[in-house]
Amino acid sequence: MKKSILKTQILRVKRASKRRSIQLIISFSFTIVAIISMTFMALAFYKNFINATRQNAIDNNKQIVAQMGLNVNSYLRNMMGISNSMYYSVIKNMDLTSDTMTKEMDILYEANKDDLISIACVSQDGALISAAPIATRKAGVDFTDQDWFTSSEEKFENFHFSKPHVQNMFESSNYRYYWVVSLSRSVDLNFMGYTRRGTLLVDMNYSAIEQMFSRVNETGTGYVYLIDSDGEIIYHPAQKAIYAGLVNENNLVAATYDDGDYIEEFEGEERAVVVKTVGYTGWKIVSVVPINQLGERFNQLRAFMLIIITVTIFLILFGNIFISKIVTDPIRKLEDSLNTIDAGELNEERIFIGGSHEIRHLGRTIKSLVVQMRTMMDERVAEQKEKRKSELNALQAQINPHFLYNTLDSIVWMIEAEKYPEAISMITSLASLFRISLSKGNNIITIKDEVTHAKNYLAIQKVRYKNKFDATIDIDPAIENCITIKLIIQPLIENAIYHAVGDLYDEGLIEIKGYEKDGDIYIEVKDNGMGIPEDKLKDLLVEKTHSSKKGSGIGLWNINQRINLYFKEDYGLKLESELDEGTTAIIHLPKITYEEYIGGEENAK
Amino acid sequence: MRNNKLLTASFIALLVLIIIELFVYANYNKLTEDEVSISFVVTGDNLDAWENMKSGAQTAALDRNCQVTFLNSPIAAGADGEIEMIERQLADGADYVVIASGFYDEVKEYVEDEKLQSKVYFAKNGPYGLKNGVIADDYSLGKDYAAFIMDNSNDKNLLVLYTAENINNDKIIEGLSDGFENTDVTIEVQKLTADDSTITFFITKAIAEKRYDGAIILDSAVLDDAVNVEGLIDSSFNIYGVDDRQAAVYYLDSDLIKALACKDDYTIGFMAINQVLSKGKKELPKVHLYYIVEREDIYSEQYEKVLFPFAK
Repeated sequence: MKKSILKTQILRVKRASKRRSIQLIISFSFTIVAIISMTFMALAFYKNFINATRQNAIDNNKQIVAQMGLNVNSYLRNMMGISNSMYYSVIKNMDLTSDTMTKEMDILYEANKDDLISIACVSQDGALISAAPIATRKAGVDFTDQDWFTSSEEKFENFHFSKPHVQNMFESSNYRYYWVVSLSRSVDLNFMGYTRRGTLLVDMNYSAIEQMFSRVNETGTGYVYLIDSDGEIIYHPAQKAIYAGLVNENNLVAATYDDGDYIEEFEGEERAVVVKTVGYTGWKIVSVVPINQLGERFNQLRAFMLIIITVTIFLILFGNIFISKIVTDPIRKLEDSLNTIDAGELNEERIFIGGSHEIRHLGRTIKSLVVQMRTMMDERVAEQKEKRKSELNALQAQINPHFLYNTLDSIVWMIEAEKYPEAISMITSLASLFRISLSKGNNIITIKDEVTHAKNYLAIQKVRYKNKFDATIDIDPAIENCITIKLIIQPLIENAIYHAVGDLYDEGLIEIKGYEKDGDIYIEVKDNGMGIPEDKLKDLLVEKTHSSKKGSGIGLWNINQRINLYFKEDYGLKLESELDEGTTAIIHLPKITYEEYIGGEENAK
Repeated sequence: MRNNKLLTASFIALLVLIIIELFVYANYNKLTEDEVSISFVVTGDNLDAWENMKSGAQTAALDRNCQVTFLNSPIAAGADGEIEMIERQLADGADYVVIASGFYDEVKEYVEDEKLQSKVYFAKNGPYGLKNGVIADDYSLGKDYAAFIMDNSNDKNLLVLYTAENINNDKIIEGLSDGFENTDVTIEVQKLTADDSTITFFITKAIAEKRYDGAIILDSAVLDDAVNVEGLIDSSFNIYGVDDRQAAVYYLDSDLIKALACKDDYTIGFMAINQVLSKGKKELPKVHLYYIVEREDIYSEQYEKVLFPFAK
């Protein structure tokens, strides 16, 4: 399911990218890749840095805890030293039947009174043998009920450290109560050579421990607390708040930790914990640093990193757009060039060649292709044109067999009637007709020759039609030396004879005029026939695939096409007709002299 | 055209982001929360008597970006002294003032008149349930004390003695009256003038007359005089104190008084700071703000850590 969604998303991105410009795709894809890479690197760097710094903070805490361990240890050893001094230097050498240890005890107390609250020696039955500095026991206090006493009685070979408690055994005159940690041990008391067991108590001033820890807690992050082996709190900066149920501490779990550092979660908060056991007592110093407090000092670093990342993204985006523009601009220009080709303009000069090596090479290749294409197309067009010309010329050159048969029949008839001069004239006209038709294979002849050809044809047809029509030819001598396509007047005369004047009862008239107008040449063939209806007139210059029918108009279309092929489409044949008035065919030609044509200047026209 | 718009939008967004980030970075120290300054004003001629409350307040302020300054207004300065102290602290830049007022009614009137309810909080002294204050339930204290006396003694006729007339004493007396109502214990409430000889005379007389089995003493001044009355130790006259001082614990430890009701100043101080820092919006934990202790229990695990102020 997830795979198909991913696939769909990828396809969507692909589809979207197809609609975007190459510059945008390059810019954004490069930027995204750069951002992802940079973010990954920044996160890795940041994480690594944070971890290292956190580890550094934990290591610092470890050092603090180690130092605290040494301090507490030293303090406790000092207290044990006092106890040892009292025991081995005083009690062991004293016969309690006659001697008193009060003086020595006072001296020892005075020497250590900053760390001590009291020293006391109690016999096994609970009698107070000696105490310093106060010797008055409170009323109702039974030493044998005290924890420190029972502990030393249970295991008399050891030192015993009590939990912190209020010293409640001796009278105080100033309403002051002292918190102490009692250090007790079993001692041998000498009474006249008899040894009896007793307990030596050294009440350590709790404030000494408290001061040690409070100084540590005033500096740095987090806090340090002290627990006994059961997890009971000996010192905590919020000790009373914990007792009052206002604050909770994970002390019972901490008691299970071995020495080292841990990450624990307590009340939804992740904390770095360092644990160090104080030798002999089994007490544990626990340093706690909430992880979020370790992170607080990195807030500014985070802000700085964000700025760096954003500025870098900005620069990358700018850089990518700039670079992609350099890369894609030539492609875009080349695309514009191809668009012009697509629009039909095969101009190799419009092909852009520039940019990188590959794009220049592509441009040159396209340019070469365009040149080749244009050459091929020109050749093809020329070829087609020539072919067309040949076809049209061939079609036009065909001599109507009826015309030839009728002409020869007329000549035979003339010879039989011994009209030899007329026969000779007709044969001469026929010969001239064929000579001009051939024109040494040239399709371009002078107007003079074309008119001569028309005259010969008229001469023959006049004989054949027994002068049923008359014909006039008026050609401006100035245009006689200009060129025309051969056999374009004769078909018009033929049409006039066959379709207009040939069948007239009255004498028909064909007028042929040639003149120059606006720098062009016009040759008109006008008849006074019945005229052509307008709807038919339109069709006469339209191409017909084939027709053998007389008067199908192929001749007129042929003339127009040939003029178009040899010259421009501005030139050609035009028909004007009026019913019962006659028809005029107007040939429009460029004015080119035969010499100009021979000199090859017709291309310029 | 569409691409250009997209690019322009990206540039503008990034530029805006950079400007914001630079602003945040440049003003980082200003944008982080300033340290909250709280002045804790207490009534009294020295601060030693308030050590527990101070300790609680300072513990609450630990790691909370908060500075607590403890100040005392001498009793002789009266309500005007406390009001002046509040004004001066606020003028000197304290964000909040917490006051354990000896003149609650006057100070309350001033706070209301000046509309300082969001700036000034009350602690210990005042009516229970105050929105901007942490006050022990004095009525319940009185009622519980009555129950305790009936459970632990055969005292039937008791005096209730006090010198200061305030809402706290009124509520305790109300609680005691209700607690002893419909029982065989009768109480006689007596307001004394705060004069040592008068108090001593009154108590001496009460002991000598043997009309009363004991006295419930609501003021430290009365208690101090009462425990020093000659013949008290040898008499069957029981004194029940209501006092938070270390001296009162000593009286109890020395068997000079039979029981002691004391308020937990540490917790009150702790909760007062929490209340201020939460701007009074966070509901305070339901914890007992007073204890009733007899001699045998002083060093018990439950009360030892509460009664002796040294341990934090």
